[in-house]
Amino acid sequence: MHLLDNKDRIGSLLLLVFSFTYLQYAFELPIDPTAGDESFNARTLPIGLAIAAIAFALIELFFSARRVDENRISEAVQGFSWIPTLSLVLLMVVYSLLFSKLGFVLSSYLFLHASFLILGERRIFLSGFIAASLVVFLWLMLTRVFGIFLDSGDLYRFLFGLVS
Amino acid sequence: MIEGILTGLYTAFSPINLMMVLMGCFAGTFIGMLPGLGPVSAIALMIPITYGLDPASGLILIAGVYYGAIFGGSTSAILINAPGVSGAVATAFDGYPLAQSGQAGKALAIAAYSSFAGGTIGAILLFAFVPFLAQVSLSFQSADYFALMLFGCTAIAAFSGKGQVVKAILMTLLGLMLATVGEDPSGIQRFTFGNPDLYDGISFLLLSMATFALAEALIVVLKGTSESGSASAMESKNLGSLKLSRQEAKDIAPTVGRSSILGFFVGILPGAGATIASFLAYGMERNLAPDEKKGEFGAGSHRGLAAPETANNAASTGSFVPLLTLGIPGSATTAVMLGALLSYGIQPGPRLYIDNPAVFWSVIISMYVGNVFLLVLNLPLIPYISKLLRVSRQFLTPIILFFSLMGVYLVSFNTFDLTIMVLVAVLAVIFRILNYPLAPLLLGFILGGMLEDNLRRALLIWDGSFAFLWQRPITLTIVIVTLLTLCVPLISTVRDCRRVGRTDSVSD
Repeated sequence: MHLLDNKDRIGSLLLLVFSFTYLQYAFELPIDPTAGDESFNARTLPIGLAIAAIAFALIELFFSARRVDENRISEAVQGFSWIPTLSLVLLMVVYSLLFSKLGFVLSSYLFLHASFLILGERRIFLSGFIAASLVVFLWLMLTRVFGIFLDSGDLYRFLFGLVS
Repeated sequence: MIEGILTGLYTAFSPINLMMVLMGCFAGTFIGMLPGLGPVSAIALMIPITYGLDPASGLILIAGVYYGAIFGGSTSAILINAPGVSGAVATAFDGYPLAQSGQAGKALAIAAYSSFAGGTIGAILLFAFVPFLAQVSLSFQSADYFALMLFGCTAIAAFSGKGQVVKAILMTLLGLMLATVGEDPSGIQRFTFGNPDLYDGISFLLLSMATFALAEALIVVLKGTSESGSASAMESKNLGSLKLSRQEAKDIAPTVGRSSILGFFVGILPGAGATIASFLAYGMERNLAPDEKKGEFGAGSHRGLAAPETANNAASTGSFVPLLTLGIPGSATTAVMLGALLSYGIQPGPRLYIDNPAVFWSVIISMYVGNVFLLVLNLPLIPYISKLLRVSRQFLTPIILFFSLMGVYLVSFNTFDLTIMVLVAVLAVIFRILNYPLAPLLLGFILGGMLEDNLRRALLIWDGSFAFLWQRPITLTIVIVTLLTLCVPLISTVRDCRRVGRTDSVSD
């Protein structure tokens, strides 16, 4: 456990795993059959990059093995506010998934209002008002001033049978 | 050339472009003042807006944001000891003590005048150097460009902090690997896993917004940085007079001259950038100062404030030289600008000077106009702009997240991009926690496509042989410089490691 409590080691391990996976996929890339025996094909650069990345990740892993007590992850993350951060990340994923269902206005309003609350804002009416004003202002600007189409969402189409 | 300059002047001084500079400086100052958000984030946030503009106006807006953000970063460094950008860290050494002693207005004025002077001298040097270098680089071939791209990739890694060299190289390689996603020039899908959303590759805007704007906003939440403290510090601060006496101006004049030239030339080096320039200038001034003045450094020295401020602005101007003449970015900010240029369909490099003189010269002229606007308009407005920082972080952070997501959505109109963006932002936060620099990742990503194109072309011309690397004198020179840039810090890292190993064995 102590061995993995090191920023450099974890970082280089992550990149090493990524590079090996990338290399494996690089070898599976198809080659243009019309290219003949051209020295440069779709695989050339990816394979070269993966090999270089593996080499440097191993170098970093070797160096980090000699720095035992430095850069501890457990010390670096002490006092981090994980709950609001992870909630915001989850909220952004939900926002991206619900965008086409609820449409720009409703999904954006819910995203903003919920994120204000996640970050500790307790004045529900004020935060609701700010979220609604911002979304409506942006919607008006984008659709009415700049003429940009914004998805009104499946819900809107289901309820009103319209396409805005 | 004269015709090009006149076209540039005409474009830069058109009412719409003057408005762009003004808007850019204002927006950049505000964003740059927010601790955690630097010029890269500010530019990334502005890119979606520029897509609706013509290339010259878009780039002028971006250049205005760049300067504004640097100015804003210095303001928060002076007022609340929280540099908005790394290039302003040295500014805080003497700026904050000055503000503490009730001379915040004077400190801001010195910073603004020094930045203006640095920017002005930088712009003059840019005028002199860029056409000359562009002429020289016109003789470059694919092989030289490939070598230059390699140099660009390694230089930013080599100038990373101590112990960061291998990490920076790894991040550059990761950026290069991400650039291979999508259809290659021969029409083969690479790493798309059958997903049509990935056929065009990962968008540069998505990557830059996710790694900088979104990730930095998440880091602020993660660290639980309380802005209320900084807001109240700002509120209680009496700015004092913004005026400088004749003697004070005379005292900092030689510092400004020296630091401008040093900053500009350090800025030209790919990867060196404003941070190194500001620290070098600070160190140089401290060494040059007479003994009785040396003690003032770190305790509110006017020279100590003027040196880094001048140098970081001159370096910002200098970093445009490799971008405009060779098409390789000198810093993370110019890397983002390179991405913006490419998305406009403009290829930076020596041909830019010939093919798009309006864009080329108007950007250079606008940099100077931006400096004038910052001095004339932003300085008197600082007390008011700083009040905007009192907006609660609980409102500001979600709004930044929302605008980042919207910025990407409004370009692609694809919600899949939003999901990818969140994933990239989470990975960026993890790499930030692990102390892996993100600027090389972006640089590698942007240079990836060009590097592959030039390598492909060079190999085609040289019949599949890598002999071009040592048979063309220009290519060979660049390759040698690249190897030296890469090897020197690597050797020093190995030495440090050995020393640590020896110390450990002695203590055991």
